[in-house]
Amino acid sequence: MRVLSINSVSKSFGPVKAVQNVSVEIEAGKIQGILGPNGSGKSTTLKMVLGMLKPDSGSIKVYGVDVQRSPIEAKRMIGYVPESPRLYEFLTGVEYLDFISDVHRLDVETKKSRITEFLEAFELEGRENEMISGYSQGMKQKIAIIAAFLHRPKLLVFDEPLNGLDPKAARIVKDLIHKLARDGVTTIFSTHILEIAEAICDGITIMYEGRILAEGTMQELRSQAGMLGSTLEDVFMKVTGTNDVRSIVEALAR
Amino acid sequence: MNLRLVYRLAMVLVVSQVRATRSRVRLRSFRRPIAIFAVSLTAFVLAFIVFWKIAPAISSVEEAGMALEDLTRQGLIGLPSFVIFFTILSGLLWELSYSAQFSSTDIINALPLSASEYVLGSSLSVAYSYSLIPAIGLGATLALGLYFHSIDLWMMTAVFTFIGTFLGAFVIEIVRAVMSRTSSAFYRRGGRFAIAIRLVGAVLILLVFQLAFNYRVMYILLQSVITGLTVAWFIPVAWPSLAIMESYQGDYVTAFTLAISSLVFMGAMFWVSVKLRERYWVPIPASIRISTAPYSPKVGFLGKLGFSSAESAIVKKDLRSLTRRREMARLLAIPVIILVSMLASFTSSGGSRLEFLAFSLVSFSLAVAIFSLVISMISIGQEASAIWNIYSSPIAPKEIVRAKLMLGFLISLAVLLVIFLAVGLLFRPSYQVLILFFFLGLSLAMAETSVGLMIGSKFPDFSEIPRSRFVTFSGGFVGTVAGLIVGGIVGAPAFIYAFVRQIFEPSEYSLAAVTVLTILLGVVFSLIAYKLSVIKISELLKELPT
Repeated sequence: MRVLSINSVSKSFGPVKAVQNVSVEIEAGKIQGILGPNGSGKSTTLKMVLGMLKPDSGSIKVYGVDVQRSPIEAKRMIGYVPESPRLYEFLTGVEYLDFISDVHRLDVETKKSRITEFLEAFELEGRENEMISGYSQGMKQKIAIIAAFLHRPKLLVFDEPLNGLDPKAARIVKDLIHKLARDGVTTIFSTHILEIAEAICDGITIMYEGRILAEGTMQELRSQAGMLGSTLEDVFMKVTGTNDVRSIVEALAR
Repeated sequence: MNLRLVYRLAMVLVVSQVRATRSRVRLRSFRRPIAIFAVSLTAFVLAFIVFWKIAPAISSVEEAGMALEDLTRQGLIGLPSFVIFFTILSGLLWELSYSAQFSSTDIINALPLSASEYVLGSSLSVAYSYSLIPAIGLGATLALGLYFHSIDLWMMTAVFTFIGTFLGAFVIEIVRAVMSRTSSAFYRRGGRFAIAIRLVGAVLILLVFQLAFNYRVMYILLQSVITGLTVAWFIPVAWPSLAIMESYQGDYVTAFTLAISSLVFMGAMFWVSVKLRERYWVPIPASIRISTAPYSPKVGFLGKLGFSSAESAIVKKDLRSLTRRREMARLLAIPVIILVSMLASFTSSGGSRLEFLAFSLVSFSLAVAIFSLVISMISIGQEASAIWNIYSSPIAPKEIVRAKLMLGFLISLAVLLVIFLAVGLLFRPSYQVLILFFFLGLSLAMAETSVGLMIGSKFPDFSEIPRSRFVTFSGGFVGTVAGLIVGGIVGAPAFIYAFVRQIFEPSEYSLAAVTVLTILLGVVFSLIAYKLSVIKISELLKELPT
């Protein structure tokens, strides 16, 4: 079953063409990674999936629901973690999660049990009554991730989700994504950490300057690049044309 | 002290403000600091031309000419004191809006910049940003000063206005440090009680500073000084004006002494602000525990009233935002400042009990109206960069509007009840007056909250800069005008009734009819503004601001 259909989507900010004619389709239970250097259009694409940005052309559907026409219906099915989550700093961790639960209309018992479980799993117990303004970057990231999981979404949209997480929390997130995938939950996430993408993604989309340069499974990407047996980093560097960094390093070291 | 660094810092602070507030202006020059200078210079020239043309026309009538000459003298003497008051009031309203979280993680804390360099740079940016009013005042007084051959007096006024602007800016730096100290002191304690005490403390600090530099009080004191030197000698902010007055009266030794004293006072304010910043600036946000109780969610009061869980969640969140964010204290201080300063001014000017009652009722209507307007006008922009939480959540525009209106209205209602009880107990007015003004307050709260939200959703300012205002400059202007018009229309029947009762028999104008008309007007404006707010929020939610 097709969960996410991104059809020929383009988006410009003034003269900057952030996303150009991008199309991606993801089946239920799949984990799709979006890779690309800074400014390649990954975050813009993910924000359009959520209906936070309006495409200049093209359309996006989540479980057949047009994100632009029925944004609220679409958002109910999505869990989102932005690149640098700015939370409500004046709330405590638990108050923020309570707010998100209420917005997603979870009943009192459900939200209590889920919030308690997640706080325990992410080792935030004992800190949940402190204001978020005093949290470290990693703790804020954990809260944002918990908030995305709370309402049991069918589609997870994660923008650099593992930023700032400690190894244990990162492992929990990766394992949880895998576990949920087996239950039919689909994930699309962007990352700069190629090892993570290689380890957990079923499919990979490489973006560069707003366009899709390559798409497929790891094996398909290797064969497209003619680099069988290479790492994702080598494939990525070749596809994006950024493989010649030696001269830059030498110039900087001078 | 590196003055070049001070200047660069001041310009960075000005640029951050100019670019955030004029991001929609296409002309690039308007997004540069020079734009503020150009606007102030234009205002100076225009004020000069207008008063230069008006002066001969007014002076052609003998009595009016004498009155104008007297007004010119008062203006030349009073301008520096007014500028001090204006800078401090504007500063209290706008300069303390930077969130504690971001100011503590600001790159400025990591740079090799001394406290004195920071204070001077920040004060310079404040003086530069608020140069418009002094420019208008100086332009007008220059024209009048030239016409009445008082150019020497104007030159003194110009110098002292300059000094007054900086004096006001240094006072703002003092308040900034004191607020930081208050916040961190109570933050370390944690708990809901400490948060409440911190809020009350912040409001009191703002009130004390505002009253200490209240122009109206100063003006009354200056009037008494003009007929004979009295208390004003003991009020340092009056010294610049006193120096000009002594010079006008030919007592140059006293004028010189007061001028030097003014400079010394300004220096003292600078020294105090530097010392306070050095001592009380908190570079690391404290970890604040609100409670120790285990998480135990319940169906809240609003939920029982039929509000959706999303609406209740937004109301709860915004209430916490209002009571926990340091930059919000200035908003809660608005009704207190308006009431206390107006009543203080009126008390010091004398008046009968009946006049005092009428004056206090007008003051409280004004306080409720302004408070309701401001609270809802900033309710969208105060989401700041966390606005993505709203964009990514399944919340309908109507729910946002209902939640924001509900909070604005509930808080305004609480303010209204407190003021109403205070007025009722203090002055024991007739039941007719109480009924009329209670429903007037209620109608004003409804109408102004709705109008404020409509403006706030059309002109939100989500930027997190040292002087974020939550509503754009043009939004603030349009909102103030719209609020005045709506407030005037809603309040008209009640004020006309109060006026007519003084002249005619009460029976000629029914209290019930006036009350019903007032409520009706409040409801009509609320409904119109509600519909428009839903449209504006729907438009806003179409795309995350970039």
